[in-house]
Amino acid sequence: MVVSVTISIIVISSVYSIGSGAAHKLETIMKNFGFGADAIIIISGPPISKHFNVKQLSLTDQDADDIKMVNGVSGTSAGIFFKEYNLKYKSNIILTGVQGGQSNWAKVRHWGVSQGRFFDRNDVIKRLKVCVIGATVAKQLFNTKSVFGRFININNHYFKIIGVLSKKGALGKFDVDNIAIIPYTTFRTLLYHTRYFAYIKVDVKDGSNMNSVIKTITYILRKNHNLHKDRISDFKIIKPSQIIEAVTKANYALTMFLVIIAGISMIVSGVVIMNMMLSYIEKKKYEIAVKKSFGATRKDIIKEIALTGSLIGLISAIIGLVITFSISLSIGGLLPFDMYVGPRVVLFSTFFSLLIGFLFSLVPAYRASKIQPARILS
Amino acid sequence: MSNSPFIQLIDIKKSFITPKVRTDVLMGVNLSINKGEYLSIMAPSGMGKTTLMHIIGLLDLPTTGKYLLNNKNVSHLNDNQLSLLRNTVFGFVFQQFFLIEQATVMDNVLLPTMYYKGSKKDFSHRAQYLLEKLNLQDRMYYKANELSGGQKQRVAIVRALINDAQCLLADEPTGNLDTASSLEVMDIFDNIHSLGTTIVMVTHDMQMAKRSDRIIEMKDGVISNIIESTISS
Repeated sequence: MVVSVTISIIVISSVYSIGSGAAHKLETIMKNFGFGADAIIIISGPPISKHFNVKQLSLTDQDADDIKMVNGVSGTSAGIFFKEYNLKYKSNIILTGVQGGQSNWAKVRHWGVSQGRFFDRNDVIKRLKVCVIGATVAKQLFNTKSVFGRFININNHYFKIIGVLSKKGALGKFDVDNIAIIPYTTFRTLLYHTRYFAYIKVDVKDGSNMNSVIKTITYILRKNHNLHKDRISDFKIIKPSQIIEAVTKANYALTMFLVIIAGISMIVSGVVIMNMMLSYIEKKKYEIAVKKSFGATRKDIIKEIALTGSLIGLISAIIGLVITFSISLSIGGLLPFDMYVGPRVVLFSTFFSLLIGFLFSLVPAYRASKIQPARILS
Repeated sequence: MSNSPFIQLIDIKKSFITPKVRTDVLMGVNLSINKGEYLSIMAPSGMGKTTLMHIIGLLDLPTTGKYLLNNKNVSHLNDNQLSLLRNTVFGFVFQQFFLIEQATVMDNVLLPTMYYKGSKKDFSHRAQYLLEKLNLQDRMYYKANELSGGQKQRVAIVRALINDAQCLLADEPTGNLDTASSLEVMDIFDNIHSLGTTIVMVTHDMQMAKRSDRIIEMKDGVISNIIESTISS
């Protein structure tokens, strides 16, 4: 009885843990890039467009300043990007995404520098031709430890490297260290003439107020952009949960399918429990008859049998979860993320297992309560 | 011994009806049992003595007739009410003992207390006292399947008395015992009787029956003879 329910618990909790682990890993990575539960990103372009289009830029300096003043916002960082450029140093070339950012660009992304410094407010105001590069760019172009003070060619303009960002690693197939950031004022002057921002990253003081902040920002931007109520917005506001949902959507269907299969196996296990308990009661009918002869009511008998069934469920859940946890430790290195055996998995597995044990012992319990002692003990 | 009727059976009839056949087992039994009385029921097999015992002990209800227990009609009580009365009024001793083999002596003895619905009592002291009285103090934590037949029946007697039963019902209590153990059990019954407990015993053995105050003989589902015993005290 215990084995059948245990196997179902192992399947359910393993499947759920793998899914949770993947989502958990993604959340951690995003938080690592400053896009945790207390951040949103506003992107130029209407919500219906799937891809960024530089011709649909709509976010202004005024927007960035107004958003900073919203109650609940702890900070903003606006930026502009256009396309990838070939960064050149002597004979070395690398194709890199170049962004124009504000002086707090690295700070809001929790991204430190391994060499030199990030550009400051003064650099931005003066539109200096300075540049901070990612670890991949530094390695590809220079292959030496120190790049501070060297000059690279971006779109036929020479930029002085004043800092190298710390290594962050890959985000899936995307190498986030293949990046270069220059002051947005310099970007607008030299690389792409625009008075707009492509995005504004917003840090929220309290993630639980997220929706209220989003509502206020939406109102401000629509007002600033003179959008009447029946016109769609010319910007998109994205929460981290939407990204995680989009990425894990494909896995979700498979996870749910496997959970349904495991659920069906739990029901089959329940039927096994019921049949084995019916057989158990047949063997124990003398004992039940004696209990009734000494004053056990039908309710007492039902409670005892149902409790036995529930205990079987509970023991199965404990064994199943211990095995799942062991699996998560032993195969951890084989997966790109950890199997996350969190509280939700434990609670769900325990509750469902208890429920199956209880429900499928009710029929045997009822049968046992109907035993007539006089017939059995004759 | 009190003269007020403890148990009164008035024209008790019992039939077992299946889709194919109807079996009339008791055909009109009239019997009064006084408090503190020691009664034996004797009959050949199939004459209804066990059925009568079950009705007296509220394990079964009569098909027709009236059963008065302490002057209250219990013929039409529901299952829960019958269970409550069985727990507090009656204690059963069976020929086959019916102990829970994998449980200890103490657990077996305390079984009826699990279903006691009255105010909380410490039954474990009473259990120890009774087990000592029946020379089982060294076997308290032995499993039931580690005991001899005589020891098992003594445990069954303690179990029957743990809730301070007013009436002990014994169905062939010595049927599975050797002579020495049988005599031991009968001596215990004599002691229990001397303390005022009513005893109703089904037996085939006339030597055992002679220890009781009265012997009821049954034939064809009715009481055919009543013998007042000259040996009982």
